Amino acid sequence: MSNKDSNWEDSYQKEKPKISIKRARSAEVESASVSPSTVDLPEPNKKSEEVKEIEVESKSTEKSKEETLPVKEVKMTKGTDFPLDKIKQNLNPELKEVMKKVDSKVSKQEVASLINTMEKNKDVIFENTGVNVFDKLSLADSSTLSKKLDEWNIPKEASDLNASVILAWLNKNKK
Amino acid sequence: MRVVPIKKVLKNYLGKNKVEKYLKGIEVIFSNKLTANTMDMYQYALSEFAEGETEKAINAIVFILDFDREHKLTLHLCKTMLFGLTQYVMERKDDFANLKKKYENDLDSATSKLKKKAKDIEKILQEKEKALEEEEKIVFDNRSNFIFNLFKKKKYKNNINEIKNQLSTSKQEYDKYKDECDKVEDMIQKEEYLKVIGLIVEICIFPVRFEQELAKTQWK
Repeated sequence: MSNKDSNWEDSYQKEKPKISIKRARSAEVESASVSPSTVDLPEPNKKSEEVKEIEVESKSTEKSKEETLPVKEVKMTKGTDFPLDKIKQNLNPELKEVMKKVDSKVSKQEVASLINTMEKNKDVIFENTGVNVFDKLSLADSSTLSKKLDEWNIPKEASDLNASVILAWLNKNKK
Repeated sequence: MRVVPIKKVLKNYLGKNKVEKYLKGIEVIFSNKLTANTMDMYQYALSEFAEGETEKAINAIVFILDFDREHKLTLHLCKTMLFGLTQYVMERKDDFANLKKKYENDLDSATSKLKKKAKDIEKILQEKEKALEEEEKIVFDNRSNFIFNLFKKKKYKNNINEIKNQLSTSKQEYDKYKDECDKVEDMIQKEEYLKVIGLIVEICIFPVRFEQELAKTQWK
């Protein structure tokens, strides 16, 4: 490892982020927030039942550190406890409601078309859209990226769910 | 091997100002719970997308993948967003190219100019609507005044018609600017989202490359 690399490693360790639930300064605001800025990065090969401790602290920065609220332990966990091919029936009630609306707005054909593009017309993401998305990638890199994307597969029900949401989002923002 | 934090790379690539909206603290719905789960976070991302809250959804995606880089549902969501957005941009490629040409690629300044123009017209519209209301009130208040009806009503009616015509023209003009402004803003937004999601996908697939770049930045 080069000197540069080891120095980066050091500073990386110092800045090692933590998951934290932060509370708003105002006492009456009860909602907490998790900042992705402070993710405690997982070690590779850790098991899915890995649990991360989250501490509660005041939302504002140095100025309000004195006002830090009492620490409350919150655990962050990985993984799901149900099969992904039955994802729809296991969604939380709020999202189930949202999905009812989404399903009424997005047709099955649109979903099938998007999934078909992802499976059979992958090169579309390397075409010139006028936006520099993967312009810097070499042909070999593009091929690697394409193969990797193939590995990001999930059961049909979950894949349909993602596609419906993305299509609803695109339709919502359509100008 | 460590996981390269997407958050840090986004900061490096997009700059502090642009990245801020994607990395604001997540308002956790499960604030009363003692456990938070990547599945909860993933569902939160879906809800936010469905509500059109793109930045919040991307924020959740970044959070999940910085916590669990192998989260298949989220990786697939990124892939779906990437393809969906690419399709969207491809379908509007010519429109986008024309807009860029028209405004010489200076889209930010084009948006502010169009917004200002629309706002100016909106002001004129309000003034005209007020004038119309006043004229109509005079006609209404004097409806039983014989002399008014005989000598002045026609003049007021003509005024009212003229104001209505002006209003209609101004409204068309306003709609034209508003529509153009929406199109430019949509293009700016979608292109930015496409870049961001492309970058997230690249970080997940080629982490070493970004690790080296991060290391260089740390050194500077």
